[in-house]
Amino acid sequence: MNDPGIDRHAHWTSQFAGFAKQLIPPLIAMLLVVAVWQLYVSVTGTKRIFLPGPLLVLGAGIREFESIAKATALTGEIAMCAFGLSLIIGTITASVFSQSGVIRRSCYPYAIFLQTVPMIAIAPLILRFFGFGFQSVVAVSFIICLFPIITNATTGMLHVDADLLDLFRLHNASRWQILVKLRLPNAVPFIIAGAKTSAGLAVIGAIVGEYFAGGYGLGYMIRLKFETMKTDVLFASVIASTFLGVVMFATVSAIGATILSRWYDQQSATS
Amino acid sequence: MTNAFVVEAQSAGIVFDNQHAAVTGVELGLRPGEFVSIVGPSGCGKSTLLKLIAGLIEPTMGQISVFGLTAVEARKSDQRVAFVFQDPNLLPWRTVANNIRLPMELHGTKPELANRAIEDSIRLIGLKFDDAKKYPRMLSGGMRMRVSLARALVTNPDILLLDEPFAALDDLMRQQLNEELMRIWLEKQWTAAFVTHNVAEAVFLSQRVLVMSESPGRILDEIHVPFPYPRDAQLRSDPKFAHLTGQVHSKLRINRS
Repeated sequence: MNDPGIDRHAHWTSQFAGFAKQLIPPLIAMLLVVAVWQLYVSVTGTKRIFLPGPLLVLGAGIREFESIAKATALTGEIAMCAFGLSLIIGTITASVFSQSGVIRRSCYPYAIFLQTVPMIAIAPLILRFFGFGFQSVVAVSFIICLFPIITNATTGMLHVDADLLDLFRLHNASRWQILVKLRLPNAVPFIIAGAKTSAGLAVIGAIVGEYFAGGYGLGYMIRLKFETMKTDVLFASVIASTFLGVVMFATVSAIGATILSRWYDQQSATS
Repeated sequence: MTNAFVVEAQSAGIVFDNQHAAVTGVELGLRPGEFVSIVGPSGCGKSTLLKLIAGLIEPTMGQISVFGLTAVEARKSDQRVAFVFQDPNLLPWRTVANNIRLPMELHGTKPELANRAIEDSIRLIGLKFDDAKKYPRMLSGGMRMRVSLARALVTNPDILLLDEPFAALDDLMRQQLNEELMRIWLEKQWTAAFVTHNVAEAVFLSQRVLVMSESPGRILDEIHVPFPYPRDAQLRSDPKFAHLTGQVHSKLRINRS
């Protein structure tokens, strides 16, 4: 065996190299886009209400940093509530679906409704139900991020090895034992895959919800700055929304990868 | 003592809707503590026969009894029947110790009793206690199979059903595990039904080798293996051993034509 210290050092160096390889190309691409954007605005002299240059957006971001940060935190809070709720409700729904083909066939079409319903059409309805504010915003976000959890978790719970099912049956396992000790843990990689999708959707949902029903958050800010023609601040808040989405996604991915790396080999965890 | 069979099949058979891997007219009797192998061409229904004995599927013809009950009743009344699959089938989210714990958990065994049984099982199968905390992904194929065996043995079964458990291992590992399995069987004296397509393995391990026909599977012949136990690795190079495996091979070949 090598000296573990050297080993770890080599490990970190190779990790860093891998990280740099991942990070440098998109950074260069971004710099290029920003440069072209600035060049376009400077050359054509586009009005700042239509398209503010990156420097103006940066300035607005710094000037309004506090209010944007506060709005981002609020939106993040709502997105996390909705995401957590969808994770719990989605997994419970999938557990019920896994118990019977009849239930699945009867209810699945209505789960698809969640995926296909135009949010703009039902947002006013939700507003009528929950009133103006927090609950409505969470509800909108929740509806948007529920579906990926339900489908993925259901697939994972049904995708159980036949021999393992036989092993449980051989030992007279109850339905509940099979669900808790076999189907649920078996579905974890699938739920994580669904959660990655939902994490991004939760932010989108929170912003759409705030746009309609919130007096706060990034969604409200985007609407307000649009209406008052503060396009530079509008751009800065859009960037903050994207940032929030990326952070949510990266956090969920990292937690997921940590769980899966304990259980599965690298290859099977990523497949 | 003719009624002393722990497992008995009388013209038992099963036909699936798709006619696949069916078994017909199986006559079989396993005595307590006996080691019996079942060999046959692939797809002849060897695995199906084991599942019938385990009570995981129900025969559509004849009957199969285990401890005087039908196989399905025996399973439902918690008779101690254990099953080892070709794939180790460990739960990747459980450590080695918790994988071995599974059958006890499903039977609702008290944790103190379960812990002792797990320790015994780990020792019996030749695992190290350091390995108990590892996850299956960290183990080699041979080690995984050992854990799978330990999980089957932890309930102290009366009947052990093995479905080509060592088929995926290399030859050396297979021979080593054959010897381990025999050592444990001599110590514990459960009744074993061992399905394999490896004739040498069948002859090395068992007192009787049953030869099955091609699908739909029937038991065609029975060969007694007279070598005394404990048998050691030397036996494999004994001319008498070669003669006997040759005999089984020819039986397999005859019923193919």
